[in-house]
Amino acid sequence: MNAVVLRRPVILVLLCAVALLAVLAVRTFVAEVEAGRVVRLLDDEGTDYLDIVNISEETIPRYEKAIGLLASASAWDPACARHPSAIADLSARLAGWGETMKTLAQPVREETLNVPELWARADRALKTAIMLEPTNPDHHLARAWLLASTDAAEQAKELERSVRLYPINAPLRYDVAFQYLVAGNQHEALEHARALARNDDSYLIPDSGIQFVRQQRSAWYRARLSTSYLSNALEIAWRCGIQTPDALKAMVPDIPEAQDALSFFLEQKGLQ
Amino acid sequence: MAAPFAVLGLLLVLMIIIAGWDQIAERFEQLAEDRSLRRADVWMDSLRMLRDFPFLGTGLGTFGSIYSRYQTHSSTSLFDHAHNDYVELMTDTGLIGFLAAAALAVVFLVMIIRQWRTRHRTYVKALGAGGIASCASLLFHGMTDFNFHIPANAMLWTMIAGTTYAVVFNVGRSREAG
Repeated sequence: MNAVVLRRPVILVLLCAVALLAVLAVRTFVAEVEAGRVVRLLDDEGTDYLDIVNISEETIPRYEKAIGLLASASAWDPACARHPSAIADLSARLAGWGETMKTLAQPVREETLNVPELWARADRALKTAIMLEPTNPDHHLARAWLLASTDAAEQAKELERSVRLYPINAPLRYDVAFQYLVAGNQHEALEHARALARNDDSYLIPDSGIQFVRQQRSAWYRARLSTSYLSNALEIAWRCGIQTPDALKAMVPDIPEAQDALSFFLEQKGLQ
Repeated sequence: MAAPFAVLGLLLVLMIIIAGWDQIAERFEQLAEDRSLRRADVWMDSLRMLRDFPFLGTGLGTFGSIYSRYQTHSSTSLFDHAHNDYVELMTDTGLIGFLAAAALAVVFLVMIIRQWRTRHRTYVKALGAGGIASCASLLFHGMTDFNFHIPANAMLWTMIAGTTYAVVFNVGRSREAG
């Protein structure tokens, strides 16, 4: 009898823990269902594959509903950064479209699309995503894009944060260099282009095949090197005023594929 | 009694190696050339993490969030795991956590193997050997993969370890006897 009495609190605590875990699991499941509905809602039914419908005055309500669903998903699972990140993405797409229409002298009515509010919502959502996942560089990069036309100092801070979180990553480094270039900060753009040229190893070819592939100089090899992040880095440097073969050569690692990428790049620019 | 079993085991291992050598050699060649996943590079970078968080580590399950800062290769690949359970345990829990887990594993295995050697029934010998081999194989595989970070694998290992313990120490029967 005593043993049963002693065990009762333990069983109670265990039951509470199981119930808590079950509630958490249910909440995550409901959030996933809500977020999953967005995929069907925004799919372009005119195509066979899964894609996102173009923004127009007719499809704006679908986008708004999708953002509502994501907000609901975020409320069910407030610890998940994916939902606020998606809200930011959709809001920024709508705001960007609204601004483009304004530029084309076909502004959308404010009742239909409130562009300043959409930018503000995107920023709020990204701040939430960053708070939830401070080590995810993608959130910082997305916020940097958002701040590009309004706050250059804060944009630079976000870019530096994203690079600090993942310094070796070539797509991220390219994005950072490109954002600085677009912002007119050639010094930083060049610094990051140099780092990108140094770090990128995605175009390398296995040792056993390198001799053969280099001798053949096939279209595949040329395309692989010309579309590499190393070539993108050279292009950014070119746009920053580095236009002599020697200066470009100084950026490139001393390995066969990198030297070939440089030679293709110089050919393309008419310098070789 | 032990010598014939040892010879049989050795023969079995030799047969497996001879029959599957081509595939093994091919896989090693692929690994040598695969520049996208060089495990040794991941481990070296992970050890740099350990230098910064030597005692308590970065926290369980945080490898994917922290490793990117230390990565020095594979500019388009993201690593969620260290591809070595022991290295990842070290970076996640530091030297204190690693030594505690290692001590637990060593004590458990030594205890099981000692007890297994004292048993004579063929049923216990065979089931115990199977259990010990299963546990050891997954521990060995953990040196180049992240088995114990896949919940299904970790749970399976726990079940096998528990079953082996019960068989070798005759848990059910001793309770009945008591």
